[in-house]
Amino acid sequence: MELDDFKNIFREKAQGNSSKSKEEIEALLHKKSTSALEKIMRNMIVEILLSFAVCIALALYHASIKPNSLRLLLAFLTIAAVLIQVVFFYPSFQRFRQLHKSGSENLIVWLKELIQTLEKFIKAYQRFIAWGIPIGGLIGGMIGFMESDEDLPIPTLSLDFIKSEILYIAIILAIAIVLFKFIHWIALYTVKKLYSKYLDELRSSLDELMKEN
Amino acid sequence: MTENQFTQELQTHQRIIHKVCLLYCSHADDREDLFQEIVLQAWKSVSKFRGDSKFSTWLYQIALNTAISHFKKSTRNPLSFFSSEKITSISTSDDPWKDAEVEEQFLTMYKAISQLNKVDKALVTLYLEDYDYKTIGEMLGISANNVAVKMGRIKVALRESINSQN
Repeated sequence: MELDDFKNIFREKAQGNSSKSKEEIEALLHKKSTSALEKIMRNMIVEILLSFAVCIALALYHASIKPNSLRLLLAFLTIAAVLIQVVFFYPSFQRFRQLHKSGSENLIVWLKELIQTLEKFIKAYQRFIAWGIPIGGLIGGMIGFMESDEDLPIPTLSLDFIKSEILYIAIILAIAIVLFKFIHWIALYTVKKLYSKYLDELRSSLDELMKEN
Repeated sequence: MTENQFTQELQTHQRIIHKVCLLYCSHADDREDLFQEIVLQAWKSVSKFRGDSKFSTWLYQIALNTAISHFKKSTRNPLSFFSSEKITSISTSDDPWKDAEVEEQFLTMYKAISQLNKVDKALVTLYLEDYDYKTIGEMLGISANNVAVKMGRIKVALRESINSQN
């Protein structure tokens, strides 16, 4: 059977396929999208809300045991952490929203915009990871150091058996660097796992279209 | 366009979405998912519809763009459509043996099409709808010549795929 013979039978079969009522179509308009784009947008919102919740919980914990100067610092850091996330992700979020409006452009334009938006989003995410993790670690270290001055009963890693101060600092730094590297790797791996496969598939479709064009 | 007008238009032209879903997904549940995504995407983009082109052409564009960028892992058995689902039977002659043969050839071709990549499926979808190469080119963003070259190649690939299945 050739494609042209298939055409006629396919049309008739498709004609006989299930059709939806107006009410069913109306109901679809109010359902949640499961597209990759919508999932990315939802993930962004969840991440920002989650980090906000974690910051608030940490701030409340510290506010219960800290003097005023530290409370102010922690309140500032909480707001800054959320604002930084919003600054990093808001442009990507806006671009994703705009994309829906270009759904009726020709396929090459649509794919290019989709790929560009995703690439920018992944770059923003990677930049956020590259800056956010070390800065978060430094701030955490700074708070820990300030807490140690306050002589409060906070559980810390006990390395009292090490007598040499230089060795002590070296071990603490080594643990911190390994932890940073590990978290950094996990974060980048997650981004790759979540979005790169989708991006690769879009790129291969675009390459296929551009071939010999 | 109001929600009511939109659903009305969509109901009239839903055949287009069904066809795209049939060619892009072999399983009924996957087709339902894709159908929903196309409807949602069309609804979000409807403000951009100016009526310069026909609603059907505009809907085809949306449906294909959505189908190509739709990304969902399917763990379902590929190609359950036409082989396990009850669909309208097409009688092409009075001879049931001949009907069965045509049905089998049809399934073989459907299987071959389902193995094409997403871009080639878009070309086949528009070709099956009798769009000329110029219009197909405009919808995909490529030249009419390129459409002709690609269609020629697809036909050869389909023939080879069918021969290897037989």
